[in-house]
Amino acid sequence: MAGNILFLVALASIWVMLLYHMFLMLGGYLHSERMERLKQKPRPKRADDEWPFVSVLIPAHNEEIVIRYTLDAMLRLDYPHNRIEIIVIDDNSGDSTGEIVDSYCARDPRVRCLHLKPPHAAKGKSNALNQALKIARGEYIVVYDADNTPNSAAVKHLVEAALDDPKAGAIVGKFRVVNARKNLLTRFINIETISFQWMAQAGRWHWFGISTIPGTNFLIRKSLIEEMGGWDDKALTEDTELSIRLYDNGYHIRFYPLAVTWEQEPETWRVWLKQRTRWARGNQYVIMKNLPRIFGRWKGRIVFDLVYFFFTYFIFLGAVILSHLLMLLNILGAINITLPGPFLLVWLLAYILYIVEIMVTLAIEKTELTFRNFLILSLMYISYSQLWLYLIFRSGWIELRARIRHDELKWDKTQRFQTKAAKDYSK
Amino acid sequence: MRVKRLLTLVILVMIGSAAYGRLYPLAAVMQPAQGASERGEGRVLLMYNSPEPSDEVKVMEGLLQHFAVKTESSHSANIGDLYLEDYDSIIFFDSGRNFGSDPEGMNRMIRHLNIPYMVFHSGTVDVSFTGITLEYRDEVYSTMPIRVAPVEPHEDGVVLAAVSDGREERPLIVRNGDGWNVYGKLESGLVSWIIADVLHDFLGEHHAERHKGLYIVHHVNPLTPPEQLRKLADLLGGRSIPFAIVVEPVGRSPDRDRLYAAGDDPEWGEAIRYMVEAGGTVVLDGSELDSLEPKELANRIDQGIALLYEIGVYPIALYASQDTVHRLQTAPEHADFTTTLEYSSTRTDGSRSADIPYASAAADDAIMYPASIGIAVSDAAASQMITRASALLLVRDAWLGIGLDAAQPYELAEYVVEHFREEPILWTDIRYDAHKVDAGFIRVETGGDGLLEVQMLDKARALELVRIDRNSNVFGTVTYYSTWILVAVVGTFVVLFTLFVVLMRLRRRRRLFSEKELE
Repeated sequence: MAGNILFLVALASIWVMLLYHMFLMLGGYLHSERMERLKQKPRPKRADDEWPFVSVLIPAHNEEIVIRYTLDAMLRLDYPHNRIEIIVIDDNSGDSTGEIVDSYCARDPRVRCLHLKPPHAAKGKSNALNQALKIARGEYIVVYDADNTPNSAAVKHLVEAALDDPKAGAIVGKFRVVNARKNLLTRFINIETISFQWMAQAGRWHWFGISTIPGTNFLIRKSLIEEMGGWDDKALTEDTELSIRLYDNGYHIRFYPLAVTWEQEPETWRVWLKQRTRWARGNQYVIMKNLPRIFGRWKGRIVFDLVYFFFTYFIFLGAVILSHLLMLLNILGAINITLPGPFLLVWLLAYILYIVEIMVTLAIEKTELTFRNFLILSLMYISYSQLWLYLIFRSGWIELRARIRHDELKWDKTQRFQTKAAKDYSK
Repeated sequence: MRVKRLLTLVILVMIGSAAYGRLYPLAAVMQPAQGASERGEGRVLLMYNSPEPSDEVKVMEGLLQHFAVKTESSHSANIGDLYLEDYDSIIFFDSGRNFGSDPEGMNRMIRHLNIPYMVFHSGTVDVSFTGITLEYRDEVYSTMPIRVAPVEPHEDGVVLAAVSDGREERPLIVRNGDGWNVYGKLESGLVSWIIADVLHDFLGEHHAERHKGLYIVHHVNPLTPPEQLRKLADLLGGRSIPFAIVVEPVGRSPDRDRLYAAGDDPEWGEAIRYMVEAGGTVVLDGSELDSLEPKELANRIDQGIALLYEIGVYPIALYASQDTVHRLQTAPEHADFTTTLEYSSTRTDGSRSADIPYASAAADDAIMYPASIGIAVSDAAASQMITRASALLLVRDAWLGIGLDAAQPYELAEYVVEHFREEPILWTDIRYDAHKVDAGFIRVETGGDGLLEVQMLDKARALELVRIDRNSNVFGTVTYYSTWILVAVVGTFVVLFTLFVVLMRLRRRRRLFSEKELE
């Protein structure tokens, strides 16, 4: 009996999430169709002076490998030169990042350099952004990570979307993986990022008018971020945290995939594990910070999204582990699941649904619907996806240990790789 | 036993009082059945020289339970530690391989003891000879293939049974004074029945030579139509034939896997009580619980008793495989049944039968009735059952458990009953044996006078058991429908998404997100 109940709990918890994602996928597809139609419409002509002033913020800490490509891409942005400033925050870099940035500042008036030194430096991305915010002159703030090479029209798309939608506190663009073809890991990540954006971001935007700031390639009104007191220094994932505060202030975040940037993803499992552990810890921090709201008063759509995060990081993954455990115990004969139903078919459908959903997201991108990606995707279910279980456990354990020891929050910068493609895709 | 709260409710039920006058004169039926002995209680030693006790040894142990003897088993290598003089008879299974013993030397030693001994030459059977008929007590029986050892009969021995392949006849059992040699294996079917009969002479225990029998109505569960149950009750009760009703208190529908409990349909409960009044004795069905672990098995048995109590009937025996009966006894807390109806094998058609051809007294006050000749689950099974029954009658005091199937058309049961009407079988009413069921929360007892004493010791426990069953019913049904709805919804979306992929592939040239090919 206990085995039956646990089995049902696991089954229900898993399928609540799978059905929700299925629903999101439908929304994502419909949103992509809407974007297709929007692309066909001519964009309104604006004189250079009619474009609002934009400050592009680029936090950089030891980014000598990639910063040059990033700044080259920034200088190629299709935006009136007198209406944009590019503030590069050299966050106490120990390599030649500062010198490279200085050379660009000297060469082009649009580029401004901000060198942070202790005690105001090396405290994480939020701190760097807050320091730059103090000197930013733009009506809008656009943020890019130091490894990003946006398409030349990216900033114009973000600004246009903001002008069209006064209730939008932030506009989120789409990011693609620049080193996607490097190895199996980057291929996995490429599929993961595409499916995340078209399923979770576009789907939630389509149905509920919700999306989450991904940390790069987004625009936020300067007045708003100032009003909210800037970025949260304590958050490891300042983007998720900021998203929730924006919704709390009555704004929404618009997903606008016409604004595209290319970013570098980890090429080794060690770097991947480190980066994703930080993300997981950051998201767990946001969930725990807002947990009382989930079980307390219901305010706004974002609570719905918090429940989603709570389910993803705790209930769903817990249920997957429970399901694995029950399967093992059943094989060993320790428990006997006697419930009637087509459970083998249900499991098979879960796998098919996983593949078909992601194939839809890949089909939206012109270059990604390939047989090779289909094979990688089939493998992903039993390999890359399962690694998340370990990752969540790891991050949970590290967070618990940090709280017990009262460890100071430490920002782990993601290691960059020399990628030829980095300079090619921003053109 | 678990008696948490004592709520004693004594119910004296005079079972079948209305039908009592129509029953067989039971005093005549109830002979000192399960093993009266002319020699008093003897000791029998079973010896074997295979590494472990073979199935033959186990079958023999089962057969010997019919007699008033104590049985001990030992490997022949331990012969030096035994006082052979203390035994009244010895049975030796010679596997033909010398596992630490000297069979010939041991045979010589046993012969000098001047006690009856029986040797099974199982290890030397000749696979090139296939017996198809078997002769015993001047009757010839067709049989499944039998293999026997190529041994000439002893000069002064008496051949008790012989096997023929149509051209050659070979002895199967030869008696020479105290020595009884069996040149075949103690296999299920005819050979074991002949041995079962021979054992009376071997042990010198001569039971009354009459055949007894009991109709056992199987597959009675809450899904069995009440009209069918009433018709079967009339079929047997109308002929004053007592019978056992093997009741499964929880039924599972074949199409939807939904559970139905005994108390769900008052009309069904009424039909069961009607059967009891017509001469039926309620036996709890444990045949569907073969795969359960001891603890769960014990719980399901308790649940079955509670569900039957709820509809006002009380099981006095358990119907289960020999294995399940043994497994139940290993559970830390379990219902004790002094009486069981047991089977040892299940056929592919779902019919079951037992190797033991007579009732046996397994332990103090314990009775095992064999469900011996199978169940009429089809026309073919009924024919096989009749053939099997006629062969079983070679055992002088055979006990025939004749299975009727409540799930089969009434006419099949009628055919079987009409057939056995002509056979010299004395129908046993097991209500007039002594039985006791102690499940902790309830105790059911009868002293052989037809009166049933029921003591409810823990009503809360009984209610809990019944409630669990009802919950699982809803639980299973909801789960079943929910998962199929899930399959339908997800299947639809899978098709829809596949169409999206195809559609986008066809419009690929016009796709919006047409970034350059990556390296």
